[in-house]
Amino acid sequence: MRDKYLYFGVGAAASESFTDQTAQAVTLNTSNFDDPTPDGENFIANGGLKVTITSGAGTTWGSHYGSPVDGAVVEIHPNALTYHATSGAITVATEGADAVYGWTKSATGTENDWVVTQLKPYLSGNGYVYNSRYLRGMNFQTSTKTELHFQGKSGDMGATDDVDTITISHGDDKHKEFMQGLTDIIADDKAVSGMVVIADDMRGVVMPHDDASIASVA
Amino acid sequence: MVKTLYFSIGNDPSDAASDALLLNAANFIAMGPIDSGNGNQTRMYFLSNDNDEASETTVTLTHAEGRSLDVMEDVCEAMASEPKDGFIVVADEANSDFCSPYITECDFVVS
Repeated sequence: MRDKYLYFGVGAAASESFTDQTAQAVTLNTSNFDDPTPDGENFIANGGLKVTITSGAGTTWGSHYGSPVDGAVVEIHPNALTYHATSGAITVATEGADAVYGWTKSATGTENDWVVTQLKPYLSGNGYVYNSRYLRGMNFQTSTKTELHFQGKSGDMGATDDVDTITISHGDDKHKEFMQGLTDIIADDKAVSGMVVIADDMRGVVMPHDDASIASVA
Repeated sequence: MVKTLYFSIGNDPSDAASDALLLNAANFIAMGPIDSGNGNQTRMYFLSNDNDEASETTVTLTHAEGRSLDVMEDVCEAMASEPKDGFIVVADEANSDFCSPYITECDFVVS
């Protein structure tokens, strides 16, 4: 049996809301987003974050968006977004500057509501890939939680044995279904290759035939 | 088949101690993003190359911002490949040969 590489997206997507914005830009803070907030001007362009804005009276949209009705939540195209490499300020190009992907805020501040949401892991603990070879076992924790124990990343063995624990939340008494579903994946040399997502809270993805039983991962 | 994973740092040629590293793929335990400040580093953890049961060997891959998940997918795909000689280049910085287009640098701590 070949090794399988099991991905667990442990952290839920960080998100920060900005209501009644009077500027064409927002800046994430560490109180409401993950700490630290990501730096790097290419972070958004590389799919790390998404920005949605609720269409309101007086907002102007580029042609890419059509004519959103007031109250519609619209995802801003990354081409219109710039991300300051150090301050983390997120700016949307105005519709005047980018007639296709731009957006111009309403002169009325209460019509400008933003939400910035994390799309990809970037911090320690956001997600891990484990080698199935080092799955030591799984055990019932509660009727809705199953623990997966892996050889620790620290490499400690023997007298200083160290275990990394992934906890799967699932439907009531679904531990056996989860365990069997996971071992089916690990044992499948024909259909499974490379990285396989077992559960990813950030993207709301769970292993294919077990979406009814997995609720979250920690 | 024994699969091995090759890494090198930026020194070209790789002609000094700790310039290059070959690890048995079976010793790969886990990997994940680490706190780099701008989401551009992912660390791989292996059983100790020195057969020290109280430590680990780590390889840190530097990559484009926010691309940790993409890099992990690419590294897993590389590790799942089956070259005839079992030799898999994950990150050969000295020769700009990477298994993922997003990786730009490689560092490791051998213990």
